[in-house]
Amino acid sequence: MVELIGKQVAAILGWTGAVFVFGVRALREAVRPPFELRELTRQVFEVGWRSLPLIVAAGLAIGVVLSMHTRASLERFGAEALIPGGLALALVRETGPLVTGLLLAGRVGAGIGAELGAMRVTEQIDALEATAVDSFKYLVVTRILACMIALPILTTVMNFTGIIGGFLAETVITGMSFRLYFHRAFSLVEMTDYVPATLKTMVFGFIIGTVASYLGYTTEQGTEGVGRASTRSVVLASILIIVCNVVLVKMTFFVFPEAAG
Amino acid sequence: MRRDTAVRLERVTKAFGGRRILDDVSFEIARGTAFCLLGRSGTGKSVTLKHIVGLIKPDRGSVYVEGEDITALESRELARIRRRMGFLFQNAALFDSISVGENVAFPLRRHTALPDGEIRKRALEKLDQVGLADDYKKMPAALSGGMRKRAGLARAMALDPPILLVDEPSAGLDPITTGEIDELLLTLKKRAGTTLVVVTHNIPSARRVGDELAVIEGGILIAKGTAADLDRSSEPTVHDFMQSSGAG
Amino acid sequence: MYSSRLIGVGAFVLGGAILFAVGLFMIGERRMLFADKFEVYTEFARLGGLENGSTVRVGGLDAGEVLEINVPAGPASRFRVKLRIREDLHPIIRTDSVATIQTDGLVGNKVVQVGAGTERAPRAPNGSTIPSKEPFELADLIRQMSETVSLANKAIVQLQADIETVFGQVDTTVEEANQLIRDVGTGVTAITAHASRVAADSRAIVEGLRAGKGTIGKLLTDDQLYRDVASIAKQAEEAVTNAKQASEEARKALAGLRDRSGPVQGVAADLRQTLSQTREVVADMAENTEALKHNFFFKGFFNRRGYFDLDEIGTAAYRRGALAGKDRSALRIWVDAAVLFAKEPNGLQVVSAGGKARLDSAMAAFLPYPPASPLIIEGYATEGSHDQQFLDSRERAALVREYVIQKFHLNPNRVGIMPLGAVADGSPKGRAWDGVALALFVKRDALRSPNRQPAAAPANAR
Ligand SMILES: Nc1ncnc2c1ncn2[C@@H]1O[C@H](COP(=O)(O)OP(=O)(O)O)[C@@H](O)[C@H]1O
Ligand SMILES: [Mg+2]
Repeated sequence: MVELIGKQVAAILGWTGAVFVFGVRALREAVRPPFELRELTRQVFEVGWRSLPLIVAAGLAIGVVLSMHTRASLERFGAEALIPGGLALALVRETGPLVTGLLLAGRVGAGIGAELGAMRVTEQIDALEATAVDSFKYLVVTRILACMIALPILTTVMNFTGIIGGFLAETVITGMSFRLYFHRAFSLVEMTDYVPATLKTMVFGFIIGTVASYLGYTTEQGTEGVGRASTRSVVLASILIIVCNVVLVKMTFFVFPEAAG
Repeated sequence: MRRDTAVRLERVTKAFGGRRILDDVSFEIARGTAFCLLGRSGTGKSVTLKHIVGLIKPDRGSVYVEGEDITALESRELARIRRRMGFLFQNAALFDSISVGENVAFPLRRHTALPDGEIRKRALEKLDQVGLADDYKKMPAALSGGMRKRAGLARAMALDPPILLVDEPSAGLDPITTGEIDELLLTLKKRAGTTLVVVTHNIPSARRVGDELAVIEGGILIAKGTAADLDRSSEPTVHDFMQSSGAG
Repeated sequence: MYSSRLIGVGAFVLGGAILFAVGLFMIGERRMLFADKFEVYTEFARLGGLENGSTVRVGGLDAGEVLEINVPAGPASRFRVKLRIREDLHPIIRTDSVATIQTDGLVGNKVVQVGAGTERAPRAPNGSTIPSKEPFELADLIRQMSETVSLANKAIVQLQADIETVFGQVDTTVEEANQLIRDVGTGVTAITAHASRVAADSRAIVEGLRAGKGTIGKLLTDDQLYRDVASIAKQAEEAVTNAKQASEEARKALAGLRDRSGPVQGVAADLRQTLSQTREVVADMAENTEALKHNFFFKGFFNRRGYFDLDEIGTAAYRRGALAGKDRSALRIWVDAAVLFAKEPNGLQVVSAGGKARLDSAMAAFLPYPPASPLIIEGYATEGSHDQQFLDSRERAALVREYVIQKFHLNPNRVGIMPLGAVADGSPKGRAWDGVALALFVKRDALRSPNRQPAAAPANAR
């Protein structure tokens, strides 16, 4: 039993180490020419632009729900004026980054895992190599970078559509103007809440891109291996995002003690 | 080593998961000749081809391409050698996220500075040579197995490489198209002096195209020589092989 | 020509960057990162939770932030607070602008409020120090005030005792001394009456403060309230001084009377003078605490309770059901005068031993109910004229109130008297009653809940 657990732990650590080495290799490759700009553009389009509808819809919905929750709790203290500020603070500091990370882990993680897995088993990756293309650079580095670029942007979109969603929920009840709502929304948010929380999603992007690429790129065992790479990408990327988020939040507090308030 | 050697394998041994796939394989292909590799399925023909482009590294032995031992090269150097080779995969391995035409254009876009129009023109030329002139804009998933194979051949030829490796070019093709492909390969050899390495089960094709034939069995190269040499072989497997019509 | 994909990616990246920048700008604008600013210092002994980054307001307008707080070097110096303020507000920040620490709304965030200065004073230069006013805790102040008031009360009672003993020791009855005793007597009675009202009112205010915890934040920022409480506290101190002085003067008068040599006349006049001053101060104080109690911040509490003060309810209003009304029911226990009272040899009416026993058992019936329920001692008397009945009934009620408060340690604010003459609707004897009735006004919901049901239901509950 102990032996079994020991083996499991060793497997998890070994896997994490391999993924980490894979990701670091990608970062190192990223700064060395040639830069696969065309493919990077294509990936930013796939990962970022194509995720916009999902993020906008989720942002609006989350804004409405958060607004209703903050209203319920703040109304009791007669502090309705704080609803926009409270909502924006919750969105910007935690909800926006985390939800965007998890949504993208679902959408993009699965996609990259499946795509690279399929390319591996149908020898397309070998074909790239045979065409004298560095498949790691061409496929992996571009996808990881695209995720790292897209996530802060999508998080920002999520934050703003969330505020708009909150505004819609609020204006139905109180008829508040958008100008006032928007102004109040930023009344409690500090730079130390906003900038680190948004930029930390680059780490989420790195996790999503790296985990999904690793699982896809190293797929074996034919077509069922592809499905496994896809689902595992989502699960493992999501878990890693949640764990990393805790670490990153602690780190943010350490670096910017003002943000802990 | 002769100066006009294009490809040379020297005592190449390769095992996957403890199973020996290639056992002490050595051969040499002269520039501008066609080398046909024969053998039953699963005997290591594709693995041999992949050794030549450096997709697989031998456990022991060396692979020389145009005089350079590619097993010792680092990736940038390897890429330079690979640009001088075209490779048709057994299952074609078309990039399924881009159109058939763009698959053929891909090596040109990667390795030449030609303008877009010129690249398209050349890609279309190659497609025309394999009889797919009308299929430039189709996606790979929309093609039949034989068409995919021909598109893969067009892509392998895109950079007009001095060495062309083709893995079962006529598998799944009708006899007429098989004949056309054979003609195309012969033309390449004659006109451009392309060195051909062809894996095939089709003995008539091999007789027509191959200057030298080799039979591989259980990872061991059991016979090598001209078609006439092999016809005279006392080895039963070789004999059986040469007698079969071996379509497909 | 660019592909639509390239345009999409461009829009995505650029749009995202712009959106992010909008957020930066919104925060930056609030923090006034892009506006011209100037800095001034101010000093506080107590920060009350002020922190770096706390908002600075000028005339109620968000105008900047607290930049840094320097810890004092020793107990004698104060926290030095650096304020950063928008330059465009500089014209109204003068050297006599006063900074105060206030509580922002209900959340309890502390902000520094800087008042506009006067035209006469020059602009506060960059880096100068402007005056401040310390934040105050109303609860502390009121506690302090009510302590002073009780001190004053004690001093006055002591004064009366002093004077009585002083004059009691005088064997000869001097006409003058008699006169003085009478004067002092009435004076002191008036003062103690007022003083006990002050004490009662400040008790009520502290109670209101405690009940209205949520509104404390607001109270802290109310200048008027601060001034009210501060002036009452000052009056209380004055009253203490006066009472002490009067005591001193009485003692002097005694000495004068004893050896018949002193300027009795003068001392007596002084004493009268001091007493009347004290009376005035205490009367003022009573008025002020009364007003403070009606301050609108406490209204909510008193409204919920249903009454400001039990003694403020008149008999007419009481009979109409001022207390029983809305959501309270009265539980009544009738006690006959014959059982209750006895006359002492000197003619004074007191509660008899049997009466005490009867009251104890009556009160026992009330104990299961919430202690916050107001208890009214209704007095009844049937003898004599109308006004005699009124006076008698009041005296009876007062005697009983005194007894039950002492015996059961009741909150005096919750026990009232109600002289009701002879008319007693629903009494055991029909339309009139001679004696008292203890009426407990219980919230209906407390009445209904079965586990609160008293063992012996009080008679004649209505
Ligand atoms: N990358 C690989 N990993 C493990 N086994 C392989 C790999 N490539 C080929 N093999 C095995 O090597 C043997 C020879 O394969 P291959 O060369 O494709 O046969 P064929 O002669 O039909 O082309 C097969 O049994 C195959 O399973
Ligand atoms: Mg094969």
